[in-house]
Amino acid sequence: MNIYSYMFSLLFALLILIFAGCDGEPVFTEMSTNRLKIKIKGTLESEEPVIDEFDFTPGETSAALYADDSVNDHPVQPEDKMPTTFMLDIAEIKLNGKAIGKYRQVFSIPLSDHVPFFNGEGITLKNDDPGNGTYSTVQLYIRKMIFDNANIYTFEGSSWNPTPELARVIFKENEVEGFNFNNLQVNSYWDSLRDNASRVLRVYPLEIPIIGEMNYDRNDDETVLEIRIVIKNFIKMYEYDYYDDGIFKVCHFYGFSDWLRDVREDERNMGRNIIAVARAYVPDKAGTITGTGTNGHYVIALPYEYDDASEFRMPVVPNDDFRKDAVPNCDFPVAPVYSGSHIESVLDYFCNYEAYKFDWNTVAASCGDIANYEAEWDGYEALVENFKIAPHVTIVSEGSYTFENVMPGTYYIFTHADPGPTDPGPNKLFTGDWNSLGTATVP
Amino acid sequence: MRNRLLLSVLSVVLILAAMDLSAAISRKKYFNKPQLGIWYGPITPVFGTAELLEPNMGVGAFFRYNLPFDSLKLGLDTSYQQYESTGINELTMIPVYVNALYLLPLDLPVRLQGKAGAGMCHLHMRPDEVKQWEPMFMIGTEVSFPAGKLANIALRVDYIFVYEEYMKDATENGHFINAAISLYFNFNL
Repeated sequence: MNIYSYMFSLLFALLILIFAGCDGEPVFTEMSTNRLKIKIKGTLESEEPVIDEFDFTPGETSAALYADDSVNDHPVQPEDKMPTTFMLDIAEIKLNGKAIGKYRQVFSIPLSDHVPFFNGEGITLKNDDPGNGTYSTVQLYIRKMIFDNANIYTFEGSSWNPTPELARVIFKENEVEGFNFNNLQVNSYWDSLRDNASRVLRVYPLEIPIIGEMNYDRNDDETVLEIRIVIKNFIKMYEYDYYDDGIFKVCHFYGFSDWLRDVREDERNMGRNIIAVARAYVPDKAGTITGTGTNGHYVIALPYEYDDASEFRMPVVPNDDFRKDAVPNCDFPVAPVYSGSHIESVLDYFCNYEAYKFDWNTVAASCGDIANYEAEWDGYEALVENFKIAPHVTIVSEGSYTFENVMPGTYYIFTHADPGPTDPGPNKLFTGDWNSLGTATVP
Repeated sequence: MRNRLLLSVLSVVLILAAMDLSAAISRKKYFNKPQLGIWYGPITPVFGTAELLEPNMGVGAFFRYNLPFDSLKLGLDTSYQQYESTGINELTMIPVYVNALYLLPLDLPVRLQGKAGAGMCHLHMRPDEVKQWEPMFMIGTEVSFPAGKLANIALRVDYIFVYEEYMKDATENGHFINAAISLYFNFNL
């Protein structure tokens, strides 16, 4: 082949390359745009605007009303004030265990009825698009959840120093005032006897069910995944006691309500008390459900596969001794924490450890064998484990309710009186039966 | 870390080259021979693409043939470029293009070349599993010197432009800088 025929062949190949197969999807545009939008809200209600307002004034001295019964070593003080800010640090998001957002995202959210996190608008998270498919759970890898206004009290000599100092914690690489209660969240109680419980039971990730599942199709222009974690009006004060250089201290901090699984005195772990739900919709396909009801009553819409609302309420009314009632014989005491090298704290520890051994033996004798232990805890868990909040929740206002962004299908509509504060009390969710309002269909 | 390693290697090569410069001048015009070579070096998304993908190391191969004009050659170049993102997106890119190389008329111990070309680029994006060919254009420069009678060593920097905005709803194009050290061989064809 001479050089000219070679050149001709090469140019011909170039022309074919340039003009062949130029059709398709724009890859770089696809990478820079999002079809899946994830919104996160801190409310029980799904609709915008949220009707329920904060039932306390942030920063005010009303903490006694919101203190858990586990605040026992040092009662609520006048210096204890309600929190004003919620801080959230998310490391990663997954769908059905598949990573869709390895982006660290931090939010510092005022406890106010007017911010997007609490008014129903929601905060948009950064994420990538997943592949086509059906997804039933979303996993949130939450590094930190912090409420501010956590007070530390010091036991000096024979009495408590009345002047507390504010607890401090690292958030977004800076020291802030607050307490990271995410460290205390665990997935379960009954395996806490295991040596590795403190590692394997951490809520990391927080697994949230997508009620009605998400059918993600990249041919849809936009799919919205809405995650709701009940935070608004679901806040309580707890006590964390510890020794610092031999000095006994307690920290009065705020966390989510232990309504479902009680946190007892001197107990640090907070088991499965994060109530969360997710739902997905395609705005182009979604419709609206409207109806009438009694002002102030809650209304929920459930996908057709939930033919009754039994999973969305407690079968019994949990009072403060609910766990004690459900696990009467096999709820073992909590071991004291070894507190270091100071003589007073070490002596305290050994005294507490003796008491712990005595209590443990008493419980072991009443519980009997491991079969009873399992039966009691399984029975307790059966009462609480299925509790979910509905994907669509709103409050009747001016005689009517509206659900926006409901995917096509038939829905069961139920109504319920206010979950609090009158019945069954503040920081508690639905108990008792839901009343049916029939069905509604979105075409 | 890998970039630092590459820089160290390049520095050593440059020093060795400088020691051999006088020899280079006296050698035959190796530019006028058909050449086959490989390259290896950092591949870097730039401009808008830098926000979507992370830099990596890439590898490529090329073949060059003479033209009747002394300072001009024709080359065929291909490479394998794998990019990850800070999220979950990944992109495998295989550009295949033809380019014209022009030897700058400068009397230097090293050869300076400019190059420009066009071709097609195969893109495979995950997890969306989009696979397709897209048109691309490139310009670049290269400095080379002989390493013996048969082999040459070059440093090359290419800008690759993947054209996408002609597609419906497209708002972005792809921009990449490929810097590399290359080794290629002269053929007495």
